Formats: sequence, C-alpha cells, structure tokens
Amino acid sequence: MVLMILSLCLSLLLGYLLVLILLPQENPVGLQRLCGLSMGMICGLGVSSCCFFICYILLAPSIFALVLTDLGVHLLLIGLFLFIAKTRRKTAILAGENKINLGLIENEDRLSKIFALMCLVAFATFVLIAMQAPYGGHDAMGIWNLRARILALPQDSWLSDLKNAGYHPDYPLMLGASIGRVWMYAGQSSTLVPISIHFLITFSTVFLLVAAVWRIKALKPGIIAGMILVGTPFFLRDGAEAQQADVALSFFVLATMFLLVWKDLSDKKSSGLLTLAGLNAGLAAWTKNEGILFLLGVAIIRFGLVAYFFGLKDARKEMKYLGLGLAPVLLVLIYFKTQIAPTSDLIAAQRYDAALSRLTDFPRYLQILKAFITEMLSFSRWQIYPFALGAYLYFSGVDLASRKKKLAFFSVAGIIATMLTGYYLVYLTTYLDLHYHIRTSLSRILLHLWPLTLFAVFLIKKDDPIELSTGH
Amino acid sequence: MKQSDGLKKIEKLLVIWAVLAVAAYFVQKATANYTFDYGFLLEPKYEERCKGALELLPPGEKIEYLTDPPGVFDRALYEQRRRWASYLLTPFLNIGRYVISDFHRPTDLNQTAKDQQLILLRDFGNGVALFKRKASR
Repeated sequence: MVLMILSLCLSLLLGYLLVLILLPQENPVGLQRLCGLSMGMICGLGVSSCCFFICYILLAPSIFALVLTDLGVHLLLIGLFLFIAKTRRKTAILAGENKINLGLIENEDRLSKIFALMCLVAFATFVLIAMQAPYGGHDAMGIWNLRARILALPQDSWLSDLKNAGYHPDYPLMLGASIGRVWMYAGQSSTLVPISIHFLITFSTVFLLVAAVWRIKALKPGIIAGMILVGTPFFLRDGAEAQQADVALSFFVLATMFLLVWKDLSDKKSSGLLTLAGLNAGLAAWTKNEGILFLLGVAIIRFGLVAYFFGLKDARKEMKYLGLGLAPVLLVLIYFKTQIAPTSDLIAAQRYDAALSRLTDFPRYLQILKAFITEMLSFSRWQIYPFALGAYLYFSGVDLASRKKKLAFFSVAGIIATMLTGYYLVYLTTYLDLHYHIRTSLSRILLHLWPLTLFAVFLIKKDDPIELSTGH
Repeated sequence: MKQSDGLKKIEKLLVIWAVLAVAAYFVQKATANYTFDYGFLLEPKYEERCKGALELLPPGEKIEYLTDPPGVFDRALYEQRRRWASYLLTPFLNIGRYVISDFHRPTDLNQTAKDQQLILLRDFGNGVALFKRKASR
C-alpha cells in the first residue's frame, strides 16, 4: 500500500515539477497552483508511463530498472526546477514583482461553495461506483487493465502477450503502462490503482477546465464550466464505472488547446507554453488512436492558422517549440506502433471493393449524420445543455474582435471540426455493422471533445465588466 | 428582457441543472441494485478463486483454462465468466503444460483428469483445481 501511494506520488511530483518549470509565472497564485496541480498530475502519469515503457524496452522489465529510471528522471527534474526557481526569483526581485492572492467577491464565493459541494457529491458517487464495479467495464478488462497486468507481471513472453492482448492490441499504452507501473511497484494488481488513476484523471479534467476558463476569462465562468462538466453524468460514468481512456484523452485535448489559446492571448512570448502543449498533444496520441488524429489536426491547423494570421516565420517557430515537447513521446509512440502494435482492425479488415461500396452507399452518409445530430442533442441525457449554452452565448454576446482571439477560437473550432470529420469518416468506412459501431462508441468519442467544447463556448463569450474587474 | 438579466437567468439555469444532475446521478448509483448484474458480485470471488492455483504455478509456465460447458449456464453468464478468467489469468493464460479448472457445477475432477489426459495436482475446492498435462503437446 505504501509503495503504491509512493509510486503514484512520484508520478504526480514529476508532472507538477514539469508543469511548474514550463508554465510562465503569472498572478494570481491560486490560478497558477490550480493549473499546476490539475495539469501536472496527469502529465506526470503520462510521462511516467513513457519512462516505464522505455525502461521496459531498453532495460530488463524489473522493479530494479524501474526504480533506477524513476530516480534518474526525478533527480534531473528536481535539479532543473531548483535552477529555474532560483533564476525566476532573482528576476522577480529585480522587477519588483509580488505574488498576490485573488480575493473572491461575494457572488463567486457562494458559487465556489456550491461547486465544492457538487464535487464532494461527485467524489462520493465515484467511490460508490468504484465499490460496485471495482474492475471497470468490459473495455477496462479487455484492453486497458489487461495490458497493465502484462506489464506489471513480466513474463518472458511479454512482447507476444502485448501483441495479442485482448481486443484492440494496437491501442497505445498510456493508461495500461501508468497502471502497470504502479502495480509493479506495489507487487500486486490491486483494483485500487486503476480506480485512483481514473479518479485523478476525471477530476483533474474538471479542475483544468475551471483553471482554463479562469485564465482566459474569470473565476466565475470557470466555476460554471466546471459545474457543467461535473454535471454531465456520462463523464463520471466513463471514468468511474467503465474505466475507459476517453476521459484521459479529453483531458489531453483540453490541456493542449488551453495552452495554445493561453499563448495566443498572452502578450508575453512563452516557449514553455508551446513545449507543454506539444507534450500534451503527444500524450493524447499515446493515450488512444483518436489522439493521433488530434495530433495531426493540431500540427496542420496551427501551422496554417498561425501562418495566415502572423506569417510563416511565427508558424515555423511555433512548430519548433511544439515539436520540442512532442518529440520524446512521439518517439515512444512510433516505436510502439512500428515494433509492437499490430495494424488497427479498422484498417487491416478493409477491402478495396467493400470500402468502395460503403463510400458509395449514400443512405449511409445520412444515417451517420442523423446519429451524430441525435447524440449531440441527447448526449448523456443532458437535455438542456446544448440549448442553454446556445442561449448563454446569445445573451452574453460573442467577441472575436482581435486577431489573437480569432486565432485562438479558429484553432479550437478547427480541431473540433477535424476530429468530428475524422470520426465521421471512420464510421463511413468501418467494416463493422454500422448500427453496432455507432451504438457502442459515438457517445464516448463525443466525450473526447466535450470539455474542449465547453472551453470554446467560454472562450468566445463577451467579457463581463464585473468579471474583468475581478479576474486576472 | 435585458441582455444582462437573460444572461444571469441562463447562468442560474445551468448551475441548477448541473447540481440536480450530480445529485440525481448520486441517488441513482446509491440505490442501484447490482445483485443481478452478471459479474459484478463475482469479481472479488474470482480473484480469490484463482489465487491458490497461480501461486503453485512454476515461474515462466503458462496455464490453460477449463470450465463448465456453455450449456450449463445461460450464454451471458458463460461469456462473463470466460472474460473474467481471461483477465485474471493474464499474463499466465496460454497454451501450456498446466491447466486450471474453474467449474461452477459439481464436477468429478478425477473423471475430468481422465477424460482430458491430465494429472490432478491439487484440488482447491469449489471446482478450482490445478492439473498437469500427461504428455507435452
């Protein structure tokens, strides 16, 4: 139990340090900490999972190699952090900067209390679900936790076991390796580990959304956005009951786009934000195959938009820093995809004539479109959210006046459109029964984009004069 | 209606809806009856069932799985149990010299061993036993 907690804390510390090193120091302190904690915890899990996998391939799969790798990475990061903290303190003293805490106005204070209460109820619900279904759903046992077992209980046959593990052995390893790493430390495959990891991922996504909207607007809309996300029962269900990777992917999608928007709206140039965005985009691809589509979308859309709004020189510069954060994770992913993972069944099972007949089956286009619209309007029986958010934008007004805001919004909207188009094409060409494929996956893949969609709504809403006076 | 009034009302509506959604979900989960959901209540028992046999398995060896024929239970329960076994016996489950039995109906293990060309190594009770193949395949 102690080793289990310790190994989990090591991951979280790693991510927290990494995020603190790369995020620019900004007021208010509360926002900085919320960003650092919510983003750091899950980035830490992602980076640890990569280190674990590298250690598995380069060294022997053993607890000794794992401890050695973890020690090396942590000492390196702590050293870097201390050096940067010292430099920053000097710069702050020279500039006469002081950190201030944000005082909440009465209205926000009440809202914060309601949000805190909601989170407590959501925590309780999560625990309740975890007690009822500690092993998660079918996919948890057939994909994610199954790989964790293979990695945590190493056998000589681990490579072939991984190649033939359950269904979709081509899926990347972020979740499996994160869980497997802690299990290896603990020396047992306790259900407490996947439950804790999914708990962290689920609630970090909520707090990251609060921090993101707080950073670009103010605390009050941030809390409202967080409330809407917690108040989406399917979001809790996917994380707690099913123990799927969809919430983790939605986290990395949100984190990447938030960091890019932060960079777009910021007056200071920050290579750290871009590097961190690159890391998060890489971790999205390391989480699920859909993350690879996201990664490609980010690279293409950002390059195009930044080149359009600010010129080719800026676009190239942005790609350089994104690539810096992305490269280590991408190398791990490429190794996994080329050396271990078999071809995805969605590609391997394609036959030219069958694919062609599906592409020319026009009622199929309509059937998928109808399913998308129906699911978007009834997703998780949320009923009022799409209409209420539309009304929210109508009453608040939309602000896309500046070039920076346009770049930020079109980046987010472009990613949402790209992902939806990609998913649409997958359904169009799928070899599986279309009705079955849609029924078992559409609500989950829409979940990938739900936190980002909420972020987009609050990004384009007009600033409230009260929010401006109390914001950052 | 003024725009600012409308915005405040929508904000209130969103907050109230979100609060109600979380509360309703909590109540739904707190009152859910999982007793008849296949698998859920079997989970901890399954881990315990396999434990003894896996501890006896020599290092590096793989294990095969033997259970009741599909007709004994309804299809859903049968599939559920096979899924559990394939998860909890990973990464030991494969073609190998050893076999674990996981019978849920009274079964004569000696007769099973005879029928399947196995040697019964240990009977853990409740239909769980560890066997070894008589000849390597």
